[in-house]
Amino acid sequence: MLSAAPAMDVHNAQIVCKDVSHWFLKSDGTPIQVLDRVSISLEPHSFTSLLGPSGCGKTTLLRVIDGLIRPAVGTVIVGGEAVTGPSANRAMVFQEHNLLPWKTAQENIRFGCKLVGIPASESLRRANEAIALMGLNGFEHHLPSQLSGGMKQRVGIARALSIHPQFLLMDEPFGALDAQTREVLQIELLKIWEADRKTVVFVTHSLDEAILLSDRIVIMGTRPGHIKAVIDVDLPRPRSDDMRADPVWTNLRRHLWQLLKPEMIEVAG
Amino acid sequence: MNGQNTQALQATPAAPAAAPPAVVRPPWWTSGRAISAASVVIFLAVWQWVTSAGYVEPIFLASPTAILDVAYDQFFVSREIYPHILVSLTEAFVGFVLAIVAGVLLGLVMGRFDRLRAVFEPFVMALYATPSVALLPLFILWLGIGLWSKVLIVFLGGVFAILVNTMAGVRGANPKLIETAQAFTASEAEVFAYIILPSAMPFIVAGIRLAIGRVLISVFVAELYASNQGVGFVVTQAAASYATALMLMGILLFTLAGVALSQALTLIEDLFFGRFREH
Repeated sequence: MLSAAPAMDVHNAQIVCKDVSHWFLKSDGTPIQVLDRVSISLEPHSFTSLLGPSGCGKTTLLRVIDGLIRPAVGTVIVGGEAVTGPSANRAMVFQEHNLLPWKTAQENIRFGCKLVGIPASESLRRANEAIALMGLNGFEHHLPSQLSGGMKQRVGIARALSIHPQFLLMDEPFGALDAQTREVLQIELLKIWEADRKTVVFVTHSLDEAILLSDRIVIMGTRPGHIKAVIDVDLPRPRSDDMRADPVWTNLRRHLWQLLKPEMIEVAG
Repeated sequence: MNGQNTQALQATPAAPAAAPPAVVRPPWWTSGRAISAASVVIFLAVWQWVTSAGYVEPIFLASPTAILDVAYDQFFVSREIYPHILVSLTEAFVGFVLAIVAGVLLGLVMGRFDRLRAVFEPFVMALYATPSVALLPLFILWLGIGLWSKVLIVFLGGVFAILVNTMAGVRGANPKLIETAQAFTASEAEVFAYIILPSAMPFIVAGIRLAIGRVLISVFVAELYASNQGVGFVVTQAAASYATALMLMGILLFTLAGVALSQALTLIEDLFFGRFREH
């Protein structure tokens, strides 16, 4: 793995949201509620997916956990501390990779390290480790414009991993990728995660992606965003693609779809 | 595709890889550069022919060779042009440098802080729309016909193009990249240094490029209007005494200055800012 896991208090390594509500201002100045009394508690070293249709506030909830958004109401406690802003123990992976177009892959990875205060020599070592881990060897000096979508997302993940976060927050990281690339990266993420089990919160609207990766799936509904159900995934680890045919998988998928269908139809209609 | 077809396809022996056809290099005289050079040469030849054959009075248009003669005299024999060039360059340089410094700094600040922009925007927009040379009489009243009234005009001529472009660049910085930096705990100063400034760089360079033309116009008009030195003054004097060749030589000096500045900027951009171009 990237490095020996830092000594951490297992009881602190968890995420708690208590009665979190939040509003955005529309362009005409009227508030619109995006989160309605959301309460969740995530185990240390667990992989949790936030699953729901567009507009259910799953991305907002992820930003609230990261500290990028301060919720209007409610408290967020991560690793035993109240969240007041982004912190070096949490790392985000974004849907659109968000790499700086003027920096090479390696420089982008080191940029994250630099911002959280990791010295240059150490950040170079970590970047090279993450480059090897994410299969980016040979591409470290490419600019993002010279990389494919999948490669860019690998860099985005490498950037997040190299600050050695306790918590990994992933905002539909594979949402913009083609189906095959997406499946390859899902499997790689599984391997990486199963090696050191960071606490992961993963936003997606793919049922299969949520089942494949997660210990637990939080289903969210819209208008305003709220939690509909929390479902455990009773599939053994290590997971693999082949489990798609497993009756546990197919039953769970059917169950999830039943829960989501009314929401999806409302959004699509 | 059914099984039979697959089999048939597999059974077909692969054709040997065809040798690539010899790539023929197009002849050198069809390149863009060669055509441009030829175009300039033909233009000069026609100009020379029209003037030296007497189709146009020398008072109205001097021939290229006459301009070269005057230039030779001015630069190597009488050497009268140098003090004028020095004066014009000083005006342009001081005004332009001040315009770049002020334009970039104000543009960065106004682009980032909405309330400051609200304070300054009415004046910036009004002055940007005003032809700055129209303010020359006022500045001469304030500062006389020496260096500083010209510097002020040059400064005003260039600063707003740079300011407005810089501001647009700052405001156009990708909010997702800003959010990314913030997620990695970047402070406001770090966001500014690592995201906003590099994002604005192509706009700043574009603003400076736009300002070059305005700066040269300002120098020229200021010297034309009221001065006793400078290349613009030389042009005015030459025109008044029907020394058309000298007048055209002065104008060509402005042309050369504009081209040289623009090329220098391209060079600087390639050397230092190539990566910051839009991707």
